[in-house]
Amino acid sequence: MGILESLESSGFAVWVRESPSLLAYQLYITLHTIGLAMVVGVSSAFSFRILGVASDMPLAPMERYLRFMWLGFWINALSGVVLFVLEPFKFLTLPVFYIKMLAVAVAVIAVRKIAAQVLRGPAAVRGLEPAAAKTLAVVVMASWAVAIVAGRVGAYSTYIQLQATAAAIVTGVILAIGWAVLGRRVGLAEPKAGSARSIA
Amino acid sequence: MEAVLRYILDWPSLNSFLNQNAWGWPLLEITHFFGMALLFGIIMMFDLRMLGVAKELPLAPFRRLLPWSIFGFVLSVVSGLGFTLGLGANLFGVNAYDVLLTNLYLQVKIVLIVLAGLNILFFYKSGVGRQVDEVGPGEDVPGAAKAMAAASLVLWTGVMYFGRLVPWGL
Repeated sequence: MGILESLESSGFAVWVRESPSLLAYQLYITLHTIGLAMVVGVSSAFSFRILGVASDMPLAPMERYLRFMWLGFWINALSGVVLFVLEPFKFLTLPVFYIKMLAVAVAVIAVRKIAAQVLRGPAAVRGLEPAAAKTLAVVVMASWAVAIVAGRVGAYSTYIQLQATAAAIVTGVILAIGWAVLGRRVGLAEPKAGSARSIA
Repeated sequence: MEAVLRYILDWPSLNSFLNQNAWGWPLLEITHFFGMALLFGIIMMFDLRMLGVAKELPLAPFRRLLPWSIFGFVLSVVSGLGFTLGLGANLFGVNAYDVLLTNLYLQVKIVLIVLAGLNILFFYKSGVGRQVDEVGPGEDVPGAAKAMAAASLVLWTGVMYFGRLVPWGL
């Protein structure tokens, strides 16, 4: 018997899958949700700041939030491993599962680069966010978007996965247009060029 | 009263839309997760700053990030209303009224959202919000602001916890 089979049929996995206890499946799924909010929320805030929102706020001290972002990440990595071993063969046969893992990997690499080069690097000291940092910020946001969509649609059949992904993309485009038109007025975009100071 | 609420809490056009378009429900879920992450992540950072994390950050400019948190709240409310008013499409004709009456997790979640909202209202109406705006790099916020920040962290974490449990309360 392979390691995945033995994990799947282990007493722990059976208990987590089948027990109605709040410490079983429900604990891991709620942790996975709260961790998601921590990781995606904090890295989104980094991205917004780099893209020009709240540009009066110094970048370097934001580095202190990295530990909370990584806390969220590890909550999700560990709860994710538990959720995975409950049904490993279901996940391994889902293409969206690989897409989600790839998107998470890309997001982590990009956030690490932001941490090293923007929050802790010379850019932070000068309060500058070079074009490369903005690209990283966009990569982070896009990767989390892919990870959330792929993670969520995995619960549905393949046809609905494709439809829901298309619907999510259309929604994203509509929101992006709304942001371009109204973003400045409602405080979701950087002020007009000229009033922005910290862009090199 | 009950009849009025049953009528308000069910939107037949949304029900049939979600019935005919299988992508509708997952789209609501995706939107809800995005909204949650923006809402909680940014509020958490603001609360942590008031509790003393990243103290070098001045608070007035920090407030410019908060519209993204409000945007996250709007996404969550719109998708959450979608779940509620279109519930019949997912639960074969069940009216949201019955779920609101019987689902303990949903009830707790709604109470926590109301408390979190009152906390924010109190923060601004009591003048603490204005005091916090004056807090510069390296400075501490007043004790009342710290208490509200701690309450906010606990309340919003509870909202996510009980929100995710709602399917088990049905």
